[in-house]
Amino acid sequence: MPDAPNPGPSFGDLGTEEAIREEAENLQNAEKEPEHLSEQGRPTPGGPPDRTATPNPKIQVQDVSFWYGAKQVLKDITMDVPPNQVTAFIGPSGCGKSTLLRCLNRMNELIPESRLTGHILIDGQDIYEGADPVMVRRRIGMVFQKPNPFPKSIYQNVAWGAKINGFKGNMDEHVEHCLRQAALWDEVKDRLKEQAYSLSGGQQQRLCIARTLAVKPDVVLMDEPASALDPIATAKLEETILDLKKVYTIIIVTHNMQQASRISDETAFFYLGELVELNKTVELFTRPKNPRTEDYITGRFG
Amino acid sequence: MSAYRPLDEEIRLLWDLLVKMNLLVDEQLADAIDAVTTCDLEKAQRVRDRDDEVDKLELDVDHQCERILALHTPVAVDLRLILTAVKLNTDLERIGDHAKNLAKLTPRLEGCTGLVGETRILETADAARALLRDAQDAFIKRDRLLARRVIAHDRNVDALHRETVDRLLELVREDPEHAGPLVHLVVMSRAIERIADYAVNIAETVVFLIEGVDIRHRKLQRGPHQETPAEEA
Repeated sequence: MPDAPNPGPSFGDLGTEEAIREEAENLQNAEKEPEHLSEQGRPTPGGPPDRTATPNPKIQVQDVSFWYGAKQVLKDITMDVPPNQVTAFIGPSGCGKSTLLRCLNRMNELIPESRLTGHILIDGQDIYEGADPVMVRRRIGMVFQKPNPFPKSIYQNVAWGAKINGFKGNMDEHVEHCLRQAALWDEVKDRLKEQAYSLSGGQQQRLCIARTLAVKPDVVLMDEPASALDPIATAKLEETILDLKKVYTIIIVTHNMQQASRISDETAFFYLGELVELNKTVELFTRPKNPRTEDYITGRFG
Repeated sequence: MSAYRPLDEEIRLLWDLLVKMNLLVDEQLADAIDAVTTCDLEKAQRVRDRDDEVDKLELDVDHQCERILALHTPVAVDLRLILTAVKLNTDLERIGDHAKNLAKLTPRLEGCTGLVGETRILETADAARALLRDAQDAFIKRDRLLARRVIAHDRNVDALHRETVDRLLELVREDPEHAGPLVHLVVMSRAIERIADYAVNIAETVVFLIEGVDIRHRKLQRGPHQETPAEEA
């Protein structure tokens, strides 16, 4: 039998110099708090939302506040919306997301006793000061929650807006182009003279998108466009949205967080009139920076 | 800002399963080490028999995770918990397998228990079990510093394992006739070293759960231009 076992170095003394160095580094890193974590590993509350400037923002919202009468519904919102991306606005009812959406194409100013401060710029130009609201709304189209086609034919729904905006070209081609962009052409090409109401809800919603595109906007705003649609129509609409972003900048307000996470590139979370967090969608839904965002997206809001 | 969520009940069920699995695997490892140390064949057999319980829990945890993902589509911290559970589950089951392998080899050591004392196997086993317990504690108590300490200390187990292998090679050279049990000891030491690796995996997963940061394979995450020379396998 061999000799008595060698007692060897004690447990703590083992390891090469490199191992010891790495261990020291590892523990040092461990003591360092990650930026967004407190001691319990919870994200720290408060703190301004991420306002990292977008290089070429399509839309710039600068210190925007908005009141309905005495009630302030938007508080000092500042954010950039990048071009050719889908940006989702999420938040509980009454958080101000739809109000902000409506501010972006000057629809709120039609409401008596409403007031807006701050600036909203599209391509660097203020859309309020010295701008014509009709021109603004032409550049920034909007699709609403409930499909609202005109009581006219499918063809007329698309052609009408273009015509009154002075479209001078081949209208048939233009209507086809818009219907194709809205992913509706194949379903309606043989029935363009039929009433728009003969279409299903999902088709009507895509017709409204085609109608919006007919006046050649840069930006398309969508206010819960899929909330009245079944899952198949929703999937079709989402596919359409992903297609449209190649050409347009899209902002979508949605209560459906899975929809926001499926189709958007960036997501903004609003709460009580404040922009709590604006972040890349994948970051916001995996590692939200703000605990209020986390509470909302995980359904812990009481 | 807390509201009742049906998801909380599902997570509680998952949590109970994970706690149970942690306890069972720790017990299995402790018994396996004990069986090897004292050459207790009865205990070794019990470890082998109870491996089915570990496997059953593995299935239960996976089913519960699948159920939560399908029905509740969790995000953020909830999603990280489910991902953690899936990984932890696999790692714990593997540790259970290694404990079973230690138990299986125990009868092969009959008559030559003195050999174990020639090696660092028992210290390696104690160190590996301590790492596992710390990793499990870090998970249960959500203690990210403890998790990071586990990762740092794995090197000690690796060093002990290398010492054992070196010593066993010496012994084989001295007495080639009795190489059989020595080979079994190498396999055992290797199994224990693997257990420590799984404990580190668990600790890394716990850091991910708490901090949302993936600290695995840091060499890859630093980018190729900063790549350091390959560390030991």
